[in-house]
Amino acid sequence: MNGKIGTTQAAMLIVNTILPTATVVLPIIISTYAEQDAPMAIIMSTLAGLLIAAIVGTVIQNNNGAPFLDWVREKSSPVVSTILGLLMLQFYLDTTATILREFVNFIKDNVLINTPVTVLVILILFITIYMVRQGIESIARVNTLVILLYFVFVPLYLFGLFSDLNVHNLLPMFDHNLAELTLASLTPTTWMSEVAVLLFLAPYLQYPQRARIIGWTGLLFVSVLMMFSLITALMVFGPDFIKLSAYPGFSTVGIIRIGRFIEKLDILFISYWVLSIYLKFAIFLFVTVECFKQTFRVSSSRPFIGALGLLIALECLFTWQSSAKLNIYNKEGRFVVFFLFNVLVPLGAILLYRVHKSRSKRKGVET
Amino acid sequence: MPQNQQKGRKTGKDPVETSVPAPLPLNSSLEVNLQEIGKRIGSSSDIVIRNFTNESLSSLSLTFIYIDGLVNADSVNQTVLQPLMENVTLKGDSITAEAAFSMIKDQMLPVGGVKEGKTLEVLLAMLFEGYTLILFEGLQVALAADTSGWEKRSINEPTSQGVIRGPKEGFTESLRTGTSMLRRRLKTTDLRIEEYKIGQRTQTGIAIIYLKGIASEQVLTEIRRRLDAINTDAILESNYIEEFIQDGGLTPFPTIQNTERPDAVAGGILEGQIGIIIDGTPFALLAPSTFFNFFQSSEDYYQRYDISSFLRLIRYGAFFVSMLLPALYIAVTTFHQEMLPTTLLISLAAQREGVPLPALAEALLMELTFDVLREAGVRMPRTIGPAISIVGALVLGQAAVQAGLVSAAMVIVVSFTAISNFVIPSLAIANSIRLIRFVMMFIAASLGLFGIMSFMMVLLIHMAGLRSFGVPYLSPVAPMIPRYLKDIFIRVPLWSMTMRPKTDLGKETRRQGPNQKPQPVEGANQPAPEQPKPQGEGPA
Repeated sequence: MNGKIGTTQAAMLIVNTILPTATVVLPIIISTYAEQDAPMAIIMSTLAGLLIAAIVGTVIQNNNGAPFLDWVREKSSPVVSTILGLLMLQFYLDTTATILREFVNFIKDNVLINTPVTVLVILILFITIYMVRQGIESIARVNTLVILLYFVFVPLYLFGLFSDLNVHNLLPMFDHNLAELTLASLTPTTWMSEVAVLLFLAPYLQYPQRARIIGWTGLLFVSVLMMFSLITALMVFGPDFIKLSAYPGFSTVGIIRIGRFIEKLDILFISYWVLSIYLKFAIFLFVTVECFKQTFRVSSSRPFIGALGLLIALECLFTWQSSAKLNIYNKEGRFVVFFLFNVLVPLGAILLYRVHKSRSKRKGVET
Repeated sequence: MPQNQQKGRKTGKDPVETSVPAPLPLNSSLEVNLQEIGKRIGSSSDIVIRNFTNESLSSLSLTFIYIDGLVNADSVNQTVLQPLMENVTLKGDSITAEAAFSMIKDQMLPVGGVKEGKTLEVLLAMLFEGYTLILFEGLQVALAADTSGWEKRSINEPTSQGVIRGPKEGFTESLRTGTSMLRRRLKTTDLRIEEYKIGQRTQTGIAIIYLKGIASEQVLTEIRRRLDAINTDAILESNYIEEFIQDGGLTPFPTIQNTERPDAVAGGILEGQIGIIIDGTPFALLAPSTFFNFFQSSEDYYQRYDISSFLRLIRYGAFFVSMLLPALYIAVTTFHQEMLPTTLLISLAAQREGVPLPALAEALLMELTFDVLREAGVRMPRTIGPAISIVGALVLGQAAVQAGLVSAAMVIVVSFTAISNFVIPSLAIANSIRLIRFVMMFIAASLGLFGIMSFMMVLLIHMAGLRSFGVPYLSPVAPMIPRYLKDIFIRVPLWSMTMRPKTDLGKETRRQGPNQKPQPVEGANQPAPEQPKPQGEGPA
């Protein structure tokens, strides 16, 4: 059931496209370079993200929400669109596999220490395949419900941490130079660039002309939540501890106390995080399936969801077996790949549109 | 002929269809007709066949047929037999069958419903509805007079949906009583009642009831289509209809409400739902129904909005407790002991020390015991019910703890879960939760909180994809329509519910005027300004 999704629903989808893994992976990377100036890095990456959202939004406005690869095929040639489709399919398969690995690693490190990774991968995959088969409309609806839960968790988080917040841990501010801040903001920018999933969600948007607004709203929401999470973690632990902690956000939650009876709420927050990462994984699996559908021009993608899921599971289990390898990829390799597919491809699409438009204008004048 | 019957006959394999005889037109010979009727219905003792001939035995011969018990005997005697048998014209030799038919039909039967029937099937259907058949020698048409009047249960208080404040009457098994109860509440020209006969052997009367202009035409068309498509031999209760027409296929969640309360059906109809009353059961259906409809009780509107809102929040809380509490207990005691405050952890550990069973087995034992007791309670004779309850609840519970089979904490968890289950106003959704709870317990025992959250995600996505006659099951929360949240988690005062809650398919219509909030008229409590007295008047 792939119905149309509204503007707010789409913006909220963007939030959960970026946030769940960003809160887990980014704090340590940002803090390594920017320490207490980490919020500055978030601001810089948000600005870059807004620019990428504008580019992606322009592409969607130009093609009026048509399936991206079909549009490329129409404007260029079937060969170009198929090659681009294959490359993008590889990109989305890799990205989805890394998301699954980050999910599984986190659960393995924090919750189910003795459960084999394969069991977790199979379970998560089955659930996510079911989610994708239910359609983007259902995913968007559940996503909105999950985001609404922030209104429960954020006050609980703030109230529980209130006595531990030390504003002096944020000082001295502006202590890092532009080069360090730029380095710190590179990896978060790759996360922000995930807004480019809109290219493949566009056919399901009720108002594709509002794609830019959708991207911007989603990114600003992500930025505010990331800042909130980082600033509170910095105020509680200070910049030195954050660099050492694997998951500083959840470490912060771990010290929440309300009275003498409510404490150690990290598992509660982890449970909430599990809901949002399921949604992130489902969104990326949906986009991968959509990319496959457009590349190979299949009318129904339902029979292929399981096959693509299996490929992702295999890549997750065998390519990203080592956490260190995944960390290096996130820190160094990811930016290049994401820049290529989330920035250059949309830019190329805009260029293609302009060239095509000017050509047809010229033809019109000649006739 | 309904479409489904035609479809079934084509295949020729349907066991339901093979028993349906082809429609047989009446023969002009009364004897042949009686033989055929005898062949069809046999020589049952409750069927009364009475012959009438005129004096010469040549020009007119009639036969009355009715079923004792389905007709009102007084009505048959006074409105059919007596007028016909005592009529002089009918006794005369000169009257023909045609003339007698017209005279009887137009002048002689003082009953409201007189119908003609030309086929045996139509006449037999009327016979089973309590009509008295009048068959004529020499005519291929017969008359049927409505003399129905069987024993009915009187209107009583609903047994499964009682209220403290509000109407105390519930539907009965009679379809007509049900429709009349709704007519009495909705005295509007827009009320429409459409009747169907479903079930080849039971010919159960089904009425769909709605308000024209408020109910969605799309939903109505869909309900009519699904009712027409039912091809079965029997409809004995509203659940038969519910299972045949509800959305979702394999879903544990009900997508149609059932209720014994006419006020609940009237309320639903006023909000654009469509009521379905089924003859033979006091439970009516309401469709389309969203998930949140199952948490609304009639009493919410009969008491103040603040307490209604509070109770509704309690119900949602009870829903989660009923579904999750045993699973959470298992997950926390098995996987996440660190979540518990130290004192509670020590207390629980001490209780569980002597228990030989793992938490899952302990929970399953208690839950299944409770379900056995509950099931026994339904069937138990009323005189021994309380005794068994004491044995079940007190003796078994306490004895199990003392014997070291289960911990006291588990008894508390299971009892609280069971009580929470009864807080939910709809038995249909409460039963769904009972089943989901068991799945949750197994998942919690294998994957802890992660498993619970994973299964929650499956349930959420399943519910988000469900529809009730085209209406999203989680609306107006997902998709979110903020202005229709006035009667979902809380109930706002009635004066602020200006518009009818809209579904995806319904129309947004105003149900009351604006500015209904009661407030004093400005200046009403101030003393009126003194009028200047006209000169020359007043007391001296």
